[in-house]
Amino acid sequence: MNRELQLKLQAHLDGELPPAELGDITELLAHDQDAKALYMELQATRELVRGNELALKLTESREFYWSKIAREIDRNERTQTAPNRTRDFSWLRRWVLPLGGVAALTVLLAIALQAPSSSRSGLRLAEASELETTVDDTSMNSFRSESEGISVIWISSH
Amino acid sequence: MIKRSTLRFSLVSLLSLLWATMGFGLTETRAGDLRLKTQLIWATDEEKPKEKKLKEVESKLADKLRRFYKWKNYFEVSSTNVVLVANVPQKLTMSRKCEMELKRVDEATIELKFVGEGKHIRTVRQKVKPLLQGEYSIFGGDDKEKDSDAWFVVISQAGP
Repeated sequence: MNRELQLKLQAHLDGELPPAELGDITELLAHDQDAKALYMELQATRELVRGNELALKLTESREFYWSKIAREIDRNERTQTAPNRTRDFSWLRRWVLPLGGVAALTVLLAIALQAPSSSRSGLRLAEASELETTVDDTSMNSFRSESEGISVIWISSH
Repeated sequence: MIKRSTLRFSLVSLLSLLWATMGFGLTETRAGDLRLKTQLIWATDEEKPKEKKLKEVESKLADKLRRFYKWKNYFEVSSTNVVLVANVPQKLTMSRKCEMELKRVDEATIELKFVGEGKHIRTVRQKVKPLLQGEYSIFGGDDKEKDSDAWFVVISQAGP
């Protein structure tokens, strides 16, 4: 018995066989023992499945259960289409983001380089000094007050 | 194998950094010139002469000077913003008879030359450190014309 006949026996059992073929299959079952054995086996299997199928009880309403499935399908579809959108903005990832990073680095460099130069924008008098004079009796002394933020060199010519 | 996008990113980064380095190099050179405010101050116990156009020294500085010196009044004779370029002297007129030349010799040394009636009187070479905002570097001395008075040259950071 070929596969086509097996499928026709299954269709007959399910009541899906076209009326034109019904006569041939009924005659086959009447005379072919293999066909009849297969038919009876399929029939027994169907009865077994029908009688022992587990009933699934939902904890929520039927509508809510199916709406969850619908939402999940919808979400999956959106996830699958997302890469296309990303591809549309791929230039952003390739150019703008690296340039943004470089710009941030540049700003940091600017801050790092500007800080010491701004602190050099003046001259605080240090301790050591050197005096060259054409006038006698000239003396020089210095002091610094950290609290007042002043450094003084006093030149006395007396 | 290096991805093309990675190579492009590296090239852009390198060019940007090169630009940034060159740009800041120029800024640093300009920043090497010091912008300073110099004030010539006359210290005296006398009241402000009516015939002279003198300005009272700002209270913050005057109070600091009063804490260390005996004089009651401090008048600003002149105030000048100077850009101190290395080895280029800046002339400051203290009075009709007296001038001062301020020069930056190197990163850590300044030179102050006092000239009286066209003759060199004295030169002070002074080691310097970075001056912080709000600090003052002060040169002072007795007034040769009037023993009881004094002069001060105050150096501070020039305003923006």
